[in-house]
Formats: sequence, C-alpha cells, structure tokens
Amino acid sequence: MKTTNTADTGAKGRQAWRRRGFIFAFLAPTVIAFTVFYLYPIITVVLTSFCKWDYTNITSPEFLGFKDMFNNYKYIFSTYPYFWEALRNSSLWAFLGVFLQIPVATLIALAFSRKMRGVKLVRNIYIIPNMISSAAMGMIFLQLYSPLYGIVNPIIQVFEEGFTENILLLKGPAFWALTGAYIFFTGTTTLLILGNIMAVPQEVREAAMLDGASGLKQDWYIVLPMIKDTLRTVSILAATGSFLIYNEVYFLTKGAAGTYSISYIIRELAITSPRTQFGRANTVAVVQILAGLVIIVLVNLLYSISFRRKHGSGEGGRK
Amino acid sequence: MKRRWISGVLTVAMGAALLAGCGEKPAEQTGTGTGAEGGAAVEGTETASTPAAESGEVLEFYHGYYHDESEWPAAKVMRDIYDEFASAHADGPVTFKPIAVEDRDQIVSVQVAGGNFPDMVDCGTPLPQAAISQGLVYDLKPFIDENNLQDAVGINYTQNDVDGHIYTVHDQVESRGIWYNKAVLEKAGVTAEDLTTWEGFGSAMESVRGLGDGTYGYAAGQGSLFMLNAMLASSEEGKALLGSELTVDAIESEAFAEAFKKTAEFDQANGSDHTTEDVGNLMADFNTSGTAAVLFNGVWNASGIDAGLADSIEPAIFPGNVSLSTAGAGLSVANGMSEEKTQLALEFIEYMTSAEVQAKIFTGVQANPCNTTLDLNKLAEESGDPITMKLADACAQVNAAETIVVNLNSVWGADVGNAIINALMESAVSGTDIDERFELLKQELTALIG
Repeated sequence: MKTTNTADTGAKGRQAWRRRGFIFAFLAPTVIAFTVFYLYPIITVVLTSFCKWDYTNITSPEFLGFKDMFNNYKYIFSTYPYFWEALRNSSLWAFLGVFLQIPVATLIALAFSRKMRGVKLVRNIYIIPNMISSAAMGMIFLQLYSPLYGIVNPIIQVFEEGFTENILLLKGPAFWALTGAYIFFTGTTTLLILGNIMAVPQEVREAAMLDGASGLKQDWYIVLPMIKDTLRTVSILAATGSFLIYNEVYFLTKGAAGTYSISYIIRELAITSPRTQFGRANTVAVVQILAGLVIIVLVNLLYSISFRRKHGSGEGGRK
Repeated sequence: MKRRWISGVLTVAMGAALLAGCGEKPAEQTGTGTGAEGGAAVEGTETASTPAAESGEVLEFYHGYYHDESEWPAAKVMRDIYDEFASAHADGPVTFKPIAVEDRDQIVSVQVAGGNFPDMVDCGTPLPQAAISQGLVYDLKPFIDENNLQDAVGINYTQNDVDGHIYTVHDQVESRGIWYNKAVLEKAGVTAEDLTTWEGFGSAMESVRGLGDGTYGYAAGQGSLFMLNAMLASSEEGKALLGSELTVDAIESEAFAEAFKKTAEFDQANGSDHTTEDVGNLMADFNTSGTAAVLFNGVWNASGIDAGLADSIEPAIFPGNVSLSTAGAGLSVANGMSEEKTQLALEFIEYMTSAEVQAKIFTGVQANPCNTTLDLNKLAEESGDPITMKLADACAQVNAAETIVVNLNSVWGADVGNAIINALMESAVSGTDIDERFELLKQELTALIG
C-alpha cells in the first residue's frame, strides 16, 4: 500500500514538473523577447537619462555623479524651450484620443452593426484611409491645408471674407489642424469594437426587446457594458498612440505655431541637434514612458468608475 | 507514436534550418560598418565572379541617388558614374559596391551611435560631430596634399578643414543665389537692378504683390532662412557670426537682430499663404506656373525650370552681392578599414573630383562642380543646352560674388536653423509682433545651445 502511494506521489511529481516545464518552455520565447527588446531598452533609457551622453562620448555614456545626476532633467524641465509645450500637446492629444476618437469609433461601429443594405460596402470603404500610412496622410493634409490650393481656406472664407493666412502657422488653429489630420481615422478601432458588438448574444438583445428596450437603449444598457473591456483596451491604445504622435508634426508643421510633440522633441535632441544629445533625449523618453503608464492607469480608473456607476444604477433599477 | 515521430522530424528540421541560417557567411566584410540598417537599398554593379568577390573584400558605398530616371534623370547620371568606377575596378582586390538608399543619413546616425561608420558614404547632412570625435572617419587631407588635389576638391579644402583635417569631400558645391522671373518683374515695373539691394528687393516684392493677379513675391519659410543668411553676410559683424558656432553673444548681436527682423518684415508683407518649411512645396509656382517672382534656391534649380519659362527665368545672387556657397558634407570614408579598401575609397574620391567626372556632374547632373579647374562656360557652350548655359551663368555669378558665405545650418546646426525657420514662419502671419517673436527666439536659441 505504502509502495503504491510512493509511486503515485512520484508520478504526480513528475507530471507536475513536466507541466511546469511546458509552461516555462512556452513562456520562454516571450520572456526572452520582452527582456531583450523591451525591458533592456527601457532600463537603458532610464539609466542613461542620468548620464552625460552626447557627441563627445557617444559610445561611453558617463554617469553625471550623484550631485549632478538630475542635470538632464533640470535642463529639460527648466531650460529646453519646447518641453512643456510638447508635453501639453501630447497630453491633450491623448485626452482627445479617449474622449473624441473612441466615441466617434464607437458610434460608427454601432451604426455598422445595424443590418442595413449596403452597410458592408460602406464598412469596406471606411477602412481604406486606414491603409494609408500616416506619413502619406500628412502629405495629403498638407495639400488640404495649403492656403493656395487647399479646401480649408475657401471654407473659412465663407465665414471670414478675405482670409488668406496659412492655418498651419496660426497658434491654436494649427494644433486643431494637426488633430484633424489623424483623429478621425479610426478604422482599426472601429473594427475591433464592431467585432465585439457582433459577438453580443442575440438572446440578450431579444430579451431586452421583450423588456421594451429600443435600439438606442439596447446599445446604451446592453451593448456598451458588454463590450466595456474592449472599449477600455482601445481607449488605452488610442491615448498612448495619440501621445506618441510624430509623423503629423513632422510633415505638417515641424513644430511651428506651438505644435511640438514629445516624440518630435526626442528626435530634435537626438538627431537634428548637431550635438547628438542622447542623454537629454532619453530624459524626455523617460517622461514619455512614465506618462504612458499614467495614461494606462487613468484610463483603467475612468472605466472602473464609469461602469461601476452604471452597474450600480442598473442594480437600483432591478430593485 | 506517430505524433512523436512527426514532432521529432519537425524539431530536427527546425534545428537544421537554424544552424544553416546562423552558419551562412555574410557576402562581404565591411570596414567598421555593419551594412545597411533599415531602408530600401538598390544595389549597384554586381561583380560576383571577379577576383575581388572571391577574396571577399567589399567596399560598400552608400549614396542617395535612388530615384528612377523618369523621376530625376540626374540620379541615373550619378549611378552611371559610380558604376563606371565599379566596372573599372572589377578585377581589383576589393569590390566596389555602390548602394542607393533613401536614408543614408539615418544609416550614418545609427551607425555612429553604435561606434561604427559605413565603409564610405555620400553624406546628405553635416557629418555628425560624434563621428569625428570618436575617430570613426578617415582624414583625407594627407591624401589630397600628397596628390595635389587642392584644385580638384576646390572649396572643400578650406571649408571642410577641421583643425587641419579634412573628413569629407563633396563633389558638388551647395551654391545658392536667387532665381527671378524676368517677365513677372517687367510686368510689375521692376528691373533686375532693383534686386541688388535689400531696400530695392523689398520695393520690388511690393510691386509684384500690387499686380493683384495672384502673382506673389517668393516662397518664404525655408527660403527666408537663406535670405537671413545672406543679410547677415551684408555686414562685417554678421559675416563674423557665420564663421563660428552660435554663441550667446551672437544671439544678442545687433547684426542678428537686424537680419531677423528685416527678413520677418519681408515675410509678413509676402504673406503666410506663401510660406512653407520646405521650399520644394512651392517650387512649382516659380518653375512651372510662373506665379512667383523670385525663388531662393541653389544653382541646381536650373534643371527644374519648365521649358516654357526658360526664356523668362534668370539667375542672380543675393542683394548686396552675396552668395551662399557651402562645400557641405559629401564623400566620407571609414577609419580603420584594410589598406586595400582605404586605397580604393581614396581612388574613388580622386575619380569623383577629376575634371572628367566633374564635367559630367555639371552637364548631366546640373550641379556646381567642386573642381575649380573647369571652364563652365565652355562646357555649357559645348553642350548647346540653354538650361546648362543658365546653370553656368548661375555658377559663375555665385563663384564671383563679392561676399561668399557658408550656409547657416552647417555652422550653427540644423536645430538652430529649424528654430529660426519656425520663428520666421510664425512672423509671416499678419499682425504678429515681430519684436516679441524675436525675443522668444532668442530665448529658444540660448536654451538650444545650452
């Protein structure tokens, strides 16, 4: 009896080890790739932000010393002329990503989910602009905004006769012109949301219909809460993507009229500057990474609070 | 059992593929460089069965002439020049391999950041200081001196001298003056003579705007930086500023303030609707449709002039008898390559600056050659091409200007240049307080050089 128990335990132990072995084997490529391609660069970026690293010592960054270790941060926060402008713009774009891009994408996805004639064709047409690179889009919008040939100035002239300025050079309008060049291209996001809307079980919709919920009420009370995890994910993607905007700035304004972005100034410091200021560029990159984390936390918090409230009111209704 | 057998076969196959992949020897050994890192590359002459290929030594040469002939014929001319050299050295110990890429400067930046340098590259932007400070680039001066190539490399010999070393030789000189449309000026009651002073230039542009038929003065923005550059050269103080890196004193100087404000005033009068950070965006207005009176561009603009406007468009230099002429960065060689590879690279530089190749660059590429021994007018006459004659005229005027200064970007850096362009573009918006914007620019520049 004892022998059988020992044999059983041994077999179970081997099985457990084999299972663990499998788990490790399958996880290993991801862990290795993450460590090499993500973790290592992030650690390097953080460490070198405390280093003097420019054209004078490009292959051997030097630690600034404990006394001066924040020199790069001091320069970026208090001296570098475009940092705060870039941080403000990038943060605002992240905000607009969540509060403008996602609602637009959701509304379009809801519209596409309706069974209407020609909806498939419209859906395919809607996706086409998303296959164009943001660089090419930048060039297209450069033409649209051209005061000589574009279509934007004639529209403005309807309201303001004799308007001839280049809107990409006007502080304020230039920011919104840049925003307009990317924010409405929500094809991928719309498809993700649409896929989840289509996955909402028909029985649930039918039950709602029996309870007297119309189309819009169904969307509000049934569909949106059921796809909230997808909405949360696409919101994080939209916010972080908007925070990282680079191509639009590069092709449309090169930072003129108060349109610098965080990604753009990293390039300015690391590449455009003849002094190849990698240390300072990485300081901005650290801010970018931290901001990305903050964005993820805020979006999660936003969804937790808003859907908890909605869930709470729903419970109240049932009582 | 069967499943295990299949898994085993697959594992062995994958392992074999991996080993084969790892074991594959690279086709060539590059000097200190590691080959192209990103970017589409069009390879030049293939000489696979030559002795050079057998020995495995390859001199990779990155250049930016990737364009299709239909897009830019000059690119094909340059590629042919490179290929001729490659063919002539096909039997040598080293294979010369020209590689056309869109992002040669990106390749340089990435490699320099990693402590490497491509075997040889025709740089499009100034050579990174990091490349020089790390000793990654070969000093060409001893070779130039030993072979008496001073006249062949021309302006490179003085402008690209860094503390007694020459790290780069540009086979084409970046020469800028102005191009004007004679017909437009005549219609506005202006003569070319009026463009010889800045005051006259301002009045001329006003007259052009007065035509009221959609014709405008000039493409501002990037073009305005050249204007500011030339204005700085109009005074001794300004000229001195262009001789060294930007300093706080230079930012606070009278000459800089005057040049910026005057340029900004011209730009504001010209209008923000004719302002662009890339002059290429509005070049067609001048070269093709003839709706712009003046274009601040290099002598190479000759090749872009539409045949229908060839009789109207003429070259000139900046008001005040000033031209911008910069050797700039060009052919640069990696340090620490094998003797054979270095020898071939140096031979290539001698070839590119030779009178024969330089003549092709002038007539075929329509650029200002660096070799000072060429008689450009004679070459233009021999070609019989009216556009080449205009190019010869433009080169002659630029080379003979009373004051010749370098491009501001090459001394003060592209980040400074961008900041000034942005400030000028914002000043072009009507109602912008130029003094206020200038004060802001001073703060930006002071911070940038900090």
